[in-house]
Amino acid sequence: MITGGSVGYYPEPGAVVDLLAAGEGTLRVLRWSQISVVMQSAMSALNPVLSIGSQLTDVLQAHRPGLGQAARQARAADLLAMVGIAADRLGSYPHELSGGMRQRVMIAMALALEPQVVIMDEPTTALDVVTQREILEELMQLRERLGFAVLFITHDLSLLVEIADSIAVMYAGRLVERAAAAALFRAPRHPYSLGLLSSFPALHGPRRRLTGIPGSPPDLRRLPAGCVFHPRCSYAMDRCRTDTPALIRLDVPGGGAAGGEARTAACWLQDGSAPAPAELAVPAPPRSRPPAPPATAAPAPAAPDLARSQP
Amino acid sequence: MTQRADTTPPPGTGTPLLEARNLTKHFPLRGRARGRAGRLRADRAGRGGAVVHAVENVSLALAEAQVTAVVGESGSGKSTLARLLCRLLEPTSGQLLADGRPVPSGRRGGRSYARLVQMVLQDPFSSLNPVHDVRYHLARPLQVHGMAEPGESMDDAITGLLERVALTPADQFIGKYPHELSGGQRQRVAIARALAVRPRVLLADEPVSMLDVSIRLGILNLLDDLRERERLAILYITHDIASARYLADTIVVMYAGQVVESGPAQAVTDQPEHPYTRLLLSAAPDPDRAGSPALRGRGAPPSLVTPPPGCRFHPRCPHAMAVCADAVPPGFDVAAGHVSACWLQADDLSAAQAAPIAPHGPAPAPREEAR
Repeated sequence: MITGGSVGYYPEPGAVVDLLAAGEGTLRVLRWSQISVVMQSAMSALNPVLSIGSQLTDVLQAHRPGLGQAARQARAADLLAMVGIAADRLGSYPHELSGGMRQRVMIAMALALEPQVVIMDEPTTALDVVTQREILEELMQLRERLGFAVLFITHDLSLLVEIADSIAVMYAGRLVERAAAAALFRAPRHPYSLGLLSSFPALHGPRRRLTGIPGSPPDLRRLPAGCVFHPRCSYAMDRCRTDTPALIRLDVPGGGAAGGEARTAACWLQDGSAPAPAELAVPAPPRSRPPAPPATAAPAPAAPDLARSQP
Repeated sequence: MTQRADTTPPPGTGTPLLEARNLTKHFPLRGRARGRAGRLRADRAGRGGAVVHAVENVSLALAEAQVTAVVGESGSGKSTLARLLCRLLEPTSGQLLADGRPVPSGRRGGRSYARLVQMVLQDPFSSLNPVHDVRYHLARPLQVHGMAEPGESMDDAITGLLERVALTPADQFIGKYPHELSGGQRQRVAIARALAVRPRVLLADEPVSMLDVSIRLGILNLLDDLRERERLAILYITHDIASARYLADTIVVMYAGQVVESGPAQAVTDQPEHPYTRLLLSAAPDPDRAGSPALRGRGAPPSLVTPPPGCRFHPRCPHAMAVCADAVPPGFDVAAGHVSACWLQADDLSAAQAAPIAPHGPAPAPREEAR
């Protein structure tokens, strides 16, 4: 049950569909053809008793009724080729494929209808690093060619800094910071982002002791009052224990996130009433990544103030 | 370049507490899988049942107050190696030496061996019994090994254990059940349980990969403290080479059941010699990297039922030579304590041996799951 907020999908400039208000019929058309998803566990997302060919053509049959059987088969073979799998694998069952191939099939399936938005929920977490890297490379090439927007969900911040344009950091159900990838990595503004960054040992340079973040993530049934991060925050002030900070826009020169969005953080240290500690006020680096070309960039669904609670 | 004999373990800086010499583990295949793989194998091996070549000829020394990291992808044999080292599995061949003395095979001496070598498993959600509290989990090893009698001395011993893993105040944790603890706290209880018998060797199999990113460092730092404070010899098994670099003194890289490179942690990550180590490092996430990395050696690990002859990495290796498909490369010393098992380090190859061969096909067939 979604208890508040809205999700806007912008199929073309000027038009907006509120996905939460939309009826089943509208959603049925939009799902997969406009917005598709890649799950973490391909083994459980794929049907074990159907060949991958029949699972790929199933999507086409449902959404492209005009397409004949031969055309569906040809399209399925094209999709597999796109993710680097030979077409003779169409008859294979999921258990006959390696983990990396199964994940590639999931990506091919998500791209079958050329959606505008692809949501990827930990798509490579279960894979070995070499396979992960190969799939990410393919994904980035496909994104450049087809122009879809990717929402990449992962716990691996060091990977995200490498591949993402813009990063939104979540903690205990809330967004706490959003910034361009390089800005977040070099100049975090929220203490949780700073803590996360110091939780990943580096591959180069002198070895130094890192601290991570003290304590554990909170129980979502008993969230702390005020800022949800305050029990683990070394900068916590009195105000943090009582007042919940809103996600506010920060004036950081050059620190704007991709897509023209301003940089935001939800922290009382950044509300401008007092200078923030030096490590949370590092000047942001100039943008190194060119913004996505506007001609192909599809507006991602925006979800302002979405709230969901589970009884 | 000097070539080392296969039986010499990589040198550690201290006294080796636990030493593995040429450990090999083959798992026989049963049932249908055996029939299929047996046919495949029949061309090469003639008669005899098909086996999974999980660990092949691995030598390793764990020294006091040293962390040795074993790095490899899934299916590289690193967990099998840990199970061999704590004698959950009997090796097919090879030898274990504890304190320089050969460990008897079979079930003999199991309890005294358990007092020397303890293990921490990957998943603290399933390695603790949900129906028992922390007191029970920590009292069991103390009782079984006669380290404490039930009563007050037991409670003191348990409190001491909880303090050693920084679960303080101990009386707040002693009566808790696993579901009342966070993942990090559970893993600390699992470590405390391993420490109960005052072991000198701790085998940690992916101890942080199931934990929230923000608390992994806490567990790694605890292992580092234990290494220093209690002079434990620690084996840290991981797929994350950055964390191995962070924690370990020595890194051992495994591929398809074989050790391909070993040496001081920073030497292995900063001057990798083996093409597989280089591939692993180029694929690892790295926020400091500019642009995408060039992967040299695409594809997947081979089937361990019918592993490639010679170097098991040669079908993927960008530098593969004729000799690589013929003979298993021995370890070559490339620097002090830094060993690479790669024919590129040999300086006496004939022209025929050194002739480059193309990496096999586009991608090897998916490997059989060997778990």
